[in-house]
Amino acid sequence: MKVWFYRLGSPKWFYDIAGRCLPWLAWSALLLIAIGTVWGLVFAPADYQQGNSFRIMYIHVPTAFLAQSCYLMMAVAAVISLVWKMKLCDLVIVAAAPLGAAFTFLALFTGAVWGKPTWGTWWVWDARLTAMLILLFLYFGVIALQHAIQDKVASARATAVLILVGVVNIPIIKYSVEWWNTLHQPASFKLTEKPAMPSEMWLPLLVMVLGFYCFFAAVLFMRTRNEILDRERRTKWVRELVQKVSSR
Amino acid sequence: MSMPQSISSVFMAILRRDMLLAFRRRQDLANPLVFFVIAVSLFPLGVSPEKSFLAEAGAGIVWVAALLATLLSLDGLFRSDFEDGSLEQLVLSPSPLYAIVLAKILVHWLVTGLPLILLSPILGLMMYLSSDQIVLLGLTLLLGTPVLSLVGAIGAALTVGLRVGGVLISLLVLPLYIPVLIFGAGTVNAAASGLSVAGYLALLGAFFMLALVLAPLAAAAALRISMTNS
Amino acid sequence: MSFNSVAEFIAYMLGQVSESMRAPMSFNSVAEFIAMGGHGLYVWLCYGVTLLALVLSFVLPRMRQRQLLREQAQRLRREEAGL
Repeated sequence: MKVWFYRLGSPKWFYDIAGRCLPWLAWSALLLIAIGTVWGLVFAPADYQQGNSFRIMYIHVPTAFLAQSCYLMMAVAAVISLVWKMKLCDLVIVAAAPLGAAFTFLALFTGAVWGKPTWGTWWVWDARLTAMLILLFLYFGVIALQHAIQDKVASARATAVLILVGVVNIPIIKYSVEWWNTLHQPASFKLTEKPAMPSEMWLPLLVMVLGFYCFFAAVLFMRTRNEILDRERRTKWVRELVQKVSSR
Repeated sequence: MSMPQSISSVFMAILRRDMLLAFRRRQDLANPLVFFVIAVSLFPLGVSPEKSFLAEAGAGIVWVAALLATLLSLDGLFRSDFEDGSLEQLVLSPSPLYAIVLAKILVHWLVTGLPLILLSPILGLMMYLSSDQIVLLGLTLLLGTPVLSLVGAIGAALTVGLRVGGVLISLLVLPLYIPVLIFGAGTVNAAASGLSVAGYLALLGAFFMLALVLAPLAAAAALRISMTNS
Repeated sequence: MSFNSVAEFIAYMLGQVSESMRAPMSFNSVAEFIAMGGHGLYVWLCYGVTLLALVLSFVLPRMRQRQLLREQAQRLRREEAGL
């Protein structure tokens, strides 16, 4: 068990394993997202109250889930990086931050656009959207700090501390925004909380969520492998790899 | 400093030293406060001087301005010590960094937050707040500004030694300030609507306790990282 | 809903998928599909932007990988040449 854990920290091991998992993840993502999209766009019945605009949910919910999961994953990586000093975790964080920010932006964008036919305006200070906006700010802070510190080791550790401070704040932020929202909008229409969605509606959603998670994992693996190639360029295994690839 | 020092003596020593240093540069102390007053005054000028608007928005305006004024002063929290090398000595010393950081944060609050609280009644009057609201505003600031100093110290510690310092601190720290802002200003607004505020004040107190315990730890860790970097 | 095993769950899902394929489509014509009951702009805006973002997220790292390998190959060749 312990050997496995420390082997996990070897960049070369991750490069190989991730490379083998990639095709599976990528094709699964393509298949699941394709099925989910067709199912959700064509076959799911229109919503009684919202009509066809509710189909945006099939993108909004997966991206929102991912935006939050990515930050949590970065927080776990931050703990491992600070406690066990595992370099691989630093690389994963560098790879994950812009990806998480992109998903947060997509969640915000789709949430806002969904709001227009539902509430009549392009932006609404809904509790969920506002909390997602603050999450985007947290991502921006992480990315900015990463780029501001030149030394890679110090940059990784400072970023890890920032991520952990942020993760402690996320529940506080959520609670505060919910409270603030009830103070100002007593009867707010919940965007994604539909108490009893028929299975024709939430099954495609499940497929989409799975597809998006596979996609996220695939892209994260790709980006992490790139970071490994970049940082480990002086090691023997990378040099051999480069020569093998270039001689093909 | 070869004798290990007790936490309280280290705390008091840093407290005294930083207060002395702060008062030697009295002009710098005034800047955030002047900014505070000017920032609040911008809203009647930019939006509307009507009582209806200002009375409703006043608590929020004062809170936002307090937030921004605190942010302005954060860069200096560790910078002068960093520049003359004493920060490195403090980080390397056997004394607990938690106590040192806490003392510095206390000085920062005494020099920035406390004057903001004392100025707030005047600004509250300018915003047509009722006397009850002004008292409540002062109370929320009393509970909230220490949190601003505590959490802000984390941002200052992460960026000390970087050239870009100031703006980056704001970017890092503002999302973390948002809950304090929501509850600080929200408490006064809730009172205006007739709701009971005891719960909200208790929550602000909880924020304060949480920050008091955790923030110096994070700031100390961040200082160590920044010192190994530069 | 509760399942006694993973196989049961998968069977249920496959059943639901095939059932929905046989289910009536929500739109009677392609024109109706694109219009989305008046919400076409919003739905297609979202799906379009997301598709673009997903494609970019996938393509950019691949390009970067190729660039990294190319650069490092060049550097290795230069080092071997003794520069």
